[in-house]
Amino acid sequence: MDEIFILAEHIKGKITDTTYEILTLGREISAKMNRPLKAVLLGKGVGNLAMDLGYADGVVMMEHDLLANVNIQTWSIALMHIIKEKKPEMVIMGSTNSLMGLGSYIAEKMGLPYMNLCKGLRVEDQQVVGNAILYGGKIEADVRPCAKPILVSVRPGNYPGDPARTRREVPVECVTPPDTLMEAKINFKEFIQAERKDIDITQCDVLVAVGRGIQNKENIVHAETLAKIFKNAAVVGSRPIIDQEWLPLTRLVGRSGMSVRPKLYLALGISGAPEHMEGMKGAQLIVAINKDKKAPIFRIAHYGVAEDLFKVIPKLAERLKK
Amino acid sequence: MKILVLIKMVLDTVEEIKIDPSGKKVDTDAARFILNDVDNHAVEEAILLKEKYGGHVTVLAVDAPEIDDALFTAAAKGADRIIKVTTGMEQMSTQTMAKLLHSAIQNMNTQFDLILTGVQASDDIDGEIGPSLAAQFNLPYIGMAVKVLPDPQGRSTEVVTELGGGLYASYRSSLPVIVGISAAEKPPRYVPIMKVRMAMKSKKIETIPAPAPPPGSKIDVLKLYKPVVTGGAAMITGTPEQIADNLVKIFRDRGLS
Amino acid sequence: MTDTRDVFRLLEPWEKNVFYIVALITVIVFIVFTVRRLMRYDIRKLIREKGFWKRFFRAIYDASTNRTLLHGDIFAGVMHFCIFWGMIFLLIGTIILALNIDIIEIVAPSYSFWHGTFYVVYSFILDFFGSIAFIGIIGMMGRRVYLRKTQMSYRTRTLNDHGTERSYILDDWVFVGLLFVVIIGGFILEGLRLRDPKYSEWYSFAGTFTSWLLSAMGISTDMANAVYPHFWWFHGIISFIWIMYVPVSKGWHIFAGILSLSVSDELAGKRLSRPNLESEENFPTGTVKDLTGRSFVMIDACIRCGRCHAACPAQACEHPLSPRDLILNMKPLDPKKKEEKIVGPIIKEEMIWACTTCYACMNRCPLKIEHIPFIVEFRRYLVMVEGNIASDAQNLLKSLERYSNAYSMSNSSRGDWASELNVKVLDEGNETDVLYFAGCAASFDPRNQEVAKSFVRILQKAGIDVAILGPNEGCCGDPARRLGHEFVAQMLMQANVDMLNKLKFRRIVTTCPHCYNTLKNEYPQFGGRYEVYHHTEFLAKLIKEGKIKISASKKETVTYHDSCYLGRYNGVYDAPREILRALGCKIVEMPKNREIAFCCGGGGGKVFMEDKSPIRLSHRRIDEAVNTGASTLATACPFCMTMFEDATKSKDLREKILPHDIVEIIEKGMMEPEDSKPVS
Repeated sequence: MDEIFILAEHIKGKITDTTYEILTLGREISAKMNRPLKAVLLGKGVGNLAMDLGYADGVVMMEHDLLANVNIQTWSIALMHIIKEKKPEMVIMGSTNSLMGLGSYIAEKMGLPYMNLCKGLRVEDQQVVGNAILYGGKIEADVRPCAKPILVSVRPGNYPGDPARTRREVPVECVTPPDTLMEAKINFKEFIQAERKDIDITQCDVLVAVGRGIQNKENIVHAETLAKIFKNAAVVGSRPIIDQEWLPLTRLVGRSGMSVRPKLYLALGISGAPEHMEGMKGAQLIVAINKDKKAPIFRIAHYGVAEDLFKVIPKLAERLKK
Repeated sequence: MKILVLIKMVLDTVEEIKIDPSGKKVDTDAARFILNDVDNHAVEEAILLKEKYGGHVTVLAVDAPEIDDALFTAAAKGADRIIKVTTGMEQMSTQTMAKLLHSAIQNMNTQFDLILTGVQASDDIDGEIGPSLAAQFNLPYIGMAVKVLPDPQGRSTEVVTELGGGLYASYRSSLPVIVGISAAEKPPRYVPIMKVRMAMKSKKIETIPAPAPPPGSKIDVLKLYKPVVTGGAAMITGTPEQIADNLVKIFRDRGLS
Repeated sequence: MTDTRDVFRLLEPWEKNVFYIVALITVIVFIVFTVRRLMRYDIRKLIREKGFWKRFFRAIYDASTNRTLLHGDIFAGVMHFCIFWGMIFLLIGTIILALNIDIIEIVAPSYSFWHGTFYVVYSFILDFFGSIAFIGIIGMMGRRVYLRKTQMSYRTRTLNDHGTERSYILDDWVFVGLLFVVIIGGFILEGLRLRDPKYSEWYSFAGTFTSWLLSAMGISTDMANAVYPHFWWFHGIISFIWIMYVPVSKGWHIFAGILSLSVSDELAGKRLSRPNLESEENFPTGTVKDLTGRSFVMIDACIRCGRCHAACPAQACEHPLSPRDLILNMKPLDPKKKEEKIVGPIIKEEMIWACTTCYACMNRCPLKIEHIPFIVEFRRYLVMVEGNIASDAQNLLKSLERYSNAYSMSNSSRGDWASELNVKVLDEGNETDVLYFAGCAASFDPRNQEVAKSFVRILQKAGIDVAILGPNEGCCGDPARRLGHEFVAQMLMQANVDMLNKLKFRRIVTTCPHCYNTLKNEYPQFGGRYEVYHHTEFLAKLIKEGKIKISASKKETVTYHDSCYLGRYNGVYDAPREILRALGCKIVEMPKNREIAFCCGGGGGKVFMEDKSPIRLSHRRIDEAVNTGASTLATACPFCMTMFEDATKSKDLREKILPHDIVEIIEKGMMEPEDSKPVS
């Protein structure tokens, strides 16, 4: 009872990055409130994944064919059952595409408070307070739940995942699937991997963007070196770069190209034309390197470096490789 | 096929957002509102389905500033009925709105096959419309949909959802089902002003009064505030080595490397 | 024997009667064809319009001088002048002759005048003008053969199957061929007559020369006399055929041209029409219903000279636009078939969208045909009724409608560019001498914000009382109007007028030629009548008055790009050049300068849109600029600035040439206190 639960998310047999992030958060809360941290694992034949969740104190597992792949209906039936049985303090889940709607459905069904769109949680007087981001990042809200258990949805990219990537054996509590699971009207059919001639930059976590400051086509290799170091990263460009065909149209970021919201947008030699900024100002972390300290990109970047990018990039690449 | 689309207005974030003196609400006096972008996609998806399979499209919303234009535009695109729920309330949380919509839909006495809505909105502080309604109606819910492929004969539909990184998942659901649209199968069409004018002349926005004040949200807003941004980028200075060290630390802190 | 001649020489009396019958038939046919053509124009309504007769007489004057034809093509102008006056004199001559032999000789024979000195002078004059016409025709035919590959070739993608290439070429040659035969025929007829030694009319020098040629060819007097009556008939019939052919061929331009000049509006294109959009009937339909009698006058007047086609910068860059084909494609339309759809089937959408409204076509048209209003009317249909526009245009229009600016930014930040400048914001509580209307680009685009700041700093240094509008300013309305969203344009313009009319200022100055054109020429439509200047006009004056102290030491080589909306639209060519000269710059002109300046490609809303074409106007123009050897490309327009900034970056030319606004060049010339002397 009163434990801190996090919902483990897995796709195609792998625990997702966001799960590790909320494990880190969960551990923080668990420490502050002095409650055990448990990971809820739903699926079929996922016993081997329990060890990946070893950062928690234990795993609460329910297995059934209908839970094999994420399915809002079956997973909500399962999770509601677990909440009724185990009566946790809170259930934290990632605000991800596959889990979209899960928290809201359960909250309404069970009459529970749901703190959505949070970038973080903190504990004040043994009470949890959520820090939500609204209106595309323009407003933050501090919210407090009025009842228990509490459901929380946390946006990806706000907590480090690495600390939680510890594999170890932890106790697994198995919960019997309820009969109501069979009443589910939604069935998972299959995964579809889209065929793309080029990658979809809107799905990348890290984008290394080049602008006029890169000077010529050959220098783009500097950006590519950096992109290779990050996970799920790609090289993109602003208008002049695509116009000169140094990068294909699929890599254009901006008003006439793609709108991107990566975890990191590294802008190299980009001045920050409004049309370009329109396409990337939603990025979670914008770091801009531009010799011109008055470049407009610095108005929206979170961090700026007014230095010759050809001096900084090699050093950066060196250190990141370690 | 009878389709219901739920739309709502959200604050237009192009304009500066002001927080009212209480610190718990947004000051809506000077604020401007815009149709939630994915709701626009939901309307488009509904119209595309109507064009392909035939049927009837109803667009329903809770009354809000500038909602009339959105409803007439939906009518100009091909919606058959446009309805708004009038309340006395100025602002409400998403859960509250979902409860109001639930009563309104019940009073409409129509059996809908498909209920579409935008998958999320920028002010969904305590939940989303789609799943909240699904819980109240005891209907299945699928979110992040990019394709809806109803089976006209059988009472079911296939829905393709977007998981990210080029990966999609396909589900089969019985009807009725509530679907949260992430993107319509085609970009929302442009409606020329002439068509909106004709819609304003030929259609009326039906109004349904809200039955009773719904219960409040289960979460309390302690305060709203602007994110602390120190006028632009935090500049990192030093030698290239020092700068690189600093950047790496920032990336590590964010779990990026 | 007194000098005269027998018009019906060597003809039987019955032939004379047949002649008059045929003549009568010709006249009737001519009148019928002419009236049918005139019926296309709702001509009574046109004539009743205010100022018609004033414009008509001005048109007569323009036609008499062939002013509009000489403009830009001296050879064609001179040749046409020859044909024009040649034919007029031949016509007058025929009338005089008819007057004498058909009327006076019958009713008052004693007053007959066509003999003696009169006859001598008459014959000489007619031979002279006949020769002039002959030279003109030969010149034109030669020109057509020589120029066949360029502007007179109909072989373009933009010409539809209607009125095919072949039928136009046929009409071209039949018309000029028939005329040639008529004129030559006249001389040959004279020559045949003058083979008879009875006649010695040296004053009919052309006829005399022809008779000499005939003699050299071995034609005797008897042969000549035998042929004469047959040739007389031949010449007569051909002439009648030509007369009947005029109203059904390109010859119709004789009348339609005058009409077109009579209905032309000097402000066409500069001040677009303002329909009342309250009522759906005033929305365009994309069909023949959108064309008025005036439209048909212009469509008919077009003689396919191709000057607009040759002048069009989009055409030069192989875009799917030809102003000539725009008009030619509409020629087969029937004003009575109001339902016939034009947009799409007759005029393709890609042509409608390819235009930058640069005015090069209208500037060159000898008959003042109004291409741009046609294009905008079709755009209005596509945007407001069909909703058929590219997504980037959609985004732009949505931004203008919702935020009153082209950048999808909050209009409340519109004055932020001036935050460090300590310039007053005009509102109902204060007043100013100069109101600086910054415009969207200067307010939001970083490169153009620099220009705005520079301008304000110069004015402040000159001690000018200047204010800006800040967040009260909305887009002037030009991009919305030129793109065809008339509804949004009217909304923006009316809002600005309502706001401006409540404020106290003496004059408006703007750094943007588009705002300039709209504020000056279109705002009166909405009740806003203001004294409007472009910043180059204003600064030139200040420099002349010594209020701006500059040094003439800038020995930079500069080439100046004439913006379409400043130059062709509003005739401002000298002021910027005066400024550059006063600064001591060496001006090297691009080959296409002033009136024939090549558009940067940004007009018509295009500066805000994606350009997918293989050849860009801005790239063409920047090449021209680079070839002058200048290191600075002086501009006076934020759109041109944006286009040239992009072009120099894309083509990696920034080491060779950089675009700078005139104010930036002035400010650089101001910042040398050591050698600053007031320049007179």
